[in-house]
Amino acid sequence: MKRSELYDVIARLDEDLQQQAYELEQRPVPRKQLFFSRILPIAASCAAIIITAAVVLSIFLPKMIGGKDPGETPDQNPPSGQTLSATKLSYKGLNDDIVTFNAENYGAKLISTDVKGVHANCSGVFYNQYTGELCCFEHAFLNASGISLPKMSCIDFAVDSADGNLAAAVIRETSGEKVTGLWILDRKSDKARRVPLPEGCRSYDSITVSSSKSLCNGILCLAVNDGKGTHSVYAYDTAFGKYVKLADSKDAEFVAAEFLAEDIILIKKDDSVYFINTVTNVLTEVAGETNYSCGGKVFSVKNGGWLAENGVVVAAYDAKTGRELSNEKVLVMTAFDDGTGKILLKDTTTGEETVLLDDYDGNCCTWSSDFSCFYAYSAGYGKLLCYFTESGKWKTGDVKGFAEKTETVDKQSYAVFENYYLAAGNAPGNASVYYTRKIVKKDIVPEYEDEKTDSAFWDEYRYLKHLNFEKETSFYFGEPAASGEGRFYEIEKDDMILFRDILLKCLESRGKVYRERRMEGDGGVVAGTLTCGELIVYFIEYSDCFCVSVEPGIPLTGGSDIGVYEFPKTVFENVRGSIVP
Amino acid sequence: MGLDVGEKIKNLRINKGLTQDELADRLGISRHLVSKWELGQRLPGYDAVEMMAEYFDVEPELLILGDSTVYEELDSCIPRGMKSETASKLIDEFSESLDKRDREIFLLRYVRFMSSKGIARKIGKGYGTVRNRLVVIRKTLREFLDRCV
Repeated sequence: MKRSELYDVIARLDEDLQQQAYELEQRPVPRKQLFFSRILPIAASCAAIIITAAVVLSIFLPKMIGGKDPGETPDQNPPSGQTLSATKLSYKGLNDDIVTFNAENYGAKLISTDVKGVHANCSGVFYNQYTGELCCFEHAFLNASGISLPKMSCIDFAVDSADGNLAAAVIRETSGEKVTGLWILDRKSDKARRVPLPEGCRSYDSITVSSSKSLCNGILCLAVNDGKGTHSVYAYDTAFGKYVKLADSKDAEFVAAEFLAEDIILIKKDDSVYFINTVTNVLTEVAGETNYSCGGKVFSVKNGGWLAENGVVVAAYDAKTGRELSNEKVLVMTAFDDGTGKILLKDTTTGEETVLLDDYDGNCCTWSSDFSCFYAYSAGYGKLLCYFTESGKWKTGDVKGFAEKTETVDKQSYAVFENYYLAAGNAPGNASVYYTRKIVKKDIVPEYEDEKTDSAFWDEYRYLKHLNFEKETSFYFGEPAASGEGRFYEIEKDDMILFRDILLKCLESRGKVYRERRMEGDGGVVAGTLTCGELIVYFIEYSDCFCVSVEPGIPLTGGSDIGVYEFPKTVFENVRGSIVP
Repeated sequence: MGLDVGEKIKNLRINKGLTQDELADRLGISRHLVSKWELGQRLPGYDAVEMMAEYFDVEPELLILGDSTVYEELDSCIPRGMKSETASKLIDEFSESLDKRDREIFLLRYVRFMSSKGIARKIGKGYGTVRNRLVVIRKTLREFLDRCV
């Protein structure tokens, strides 16, 4: 079809469908909104939590270690005895050469990290910020359990947020995400125990462990679909091996249950959100809200409140009683579609906002372990923020990041990727910023018109070119099982190198026509696909040849020949394995 | 990189010094429709695109310029010879049969022309997952449309 006709196909779609697509696009990016409620008591004799109406907020900008004087805004009520100090950027690298940090687990001692080498294909690889050691939960689990991971399976780990030695291991099929096993790993004792099925549940595929925050203090949250129309949420006590049902429903599916904070379980059911305070057994429904968080310092998290916001209204709830609160000042973190955002202090009564940190990319923040301080770092802005929850005051200081994204040495260009990680120190106002840097030599790639607009394509080319098969002896590929085609092929290392070069040729050929377009009546059929890093490769089998196209090329069954390369079948005769079915 | 037809229409209109009402008058359509186009809530049909292109003295292709890969992916799913009107109706029907997650991925990719990475961020899934789902969705759409021929 011509482009104009293809455009017309989209333009003629039902108006409702177009509207839905538009609304989807406008929907805020999830995971980037975080709200924190600061709730102070007025009288110790009050059983309920009472909210202050107004607080004078000020900024005190102390001199940073190793940095210049940061700001000029005077502090109206400087807090005594509280300082903000930040170490200079320091490199906390590991022995593995490519490391990135992921600051998802705010304040956690174990930080998720990606590595190459012996743990390249492992899940649950973490870096312990305090000991500097690398922990691989996958290796630990397989050793402790003695099981072999079934083919085309993977393990997801939910590390206990209160005890980094405990983790739930969810074994599932990589293709359809069907759960096939559930274990608890204790790294201290090097033991792994299978989690029994709850009563009435016949197989593990009816269980969902929704997120990495499902385990806290040895209590595991999970959702169960009994296949007969009842959906339930359970808490499993790993110490006693007992299940407690938290909630169930006959008409809607519980999507997720996870720990929002110690003793606070969050349950999502369609559009409704429920919080359960496991100390007070109070259940609060926050219907229709889309963002929520839990915090509070004065009474500790157990008695603290939580916040919910639907884009317009911010509401605060007392965790102990479930009562809705008002007149709150809340800490809000927003992120925009271009990756920048702000950290604001928002008055829920007046809607007034005060910017505490600008140009925040949403990836570098943490709580102190006692929730007395909230820290955030803006690499682009070069500022570190500390918000003191007790006083409602905050401070920022200069901690410069790296401005350069490319470096040139001896006329050779290098792309520089850096990640930042923030760790709360042991004292209020004390935080450290870590970074890692990965420097990749930029290849000279053929220039095409679309290079400037589609650098993702060439990023993938470079990624593929640098794939290292030295430690791999086989490589699996095939169509996801859910599509109905489950053919998988194993290729030995040396052949994988040949294969990679074939794929690189496909990519380099982009824009050139290698062969005339075949008519569909020739019997072409998709023989299989290869997922190789970020690429998807199509193999289309004809009587005398294979046609290979690489996404973002297109399969041969339609469209143009961009990214298509034809191989006679004889090319694959010397390849070990069973590429030719 | 999306399909910013609305943005382009708005820029062309403003450069010509027209209000939405005036443009609507020139094209013989309602202001309400022009507003929806510019906001991106609805796409103008190709005949309207041609009309606007002639009025603004630009190539129609300029207005519908978007990620060529997305067009190619869509083209690979539609049987040769199928009319665009028929394809639209069937794709409407097909999208109803998708589960919620696949539907979101499908709409964001083929109606909003969002990149796979952008979709992954938007729906909170991994990039690899989105790519794999798109492969499956396209295959299923191809089979569905082939059956309807």
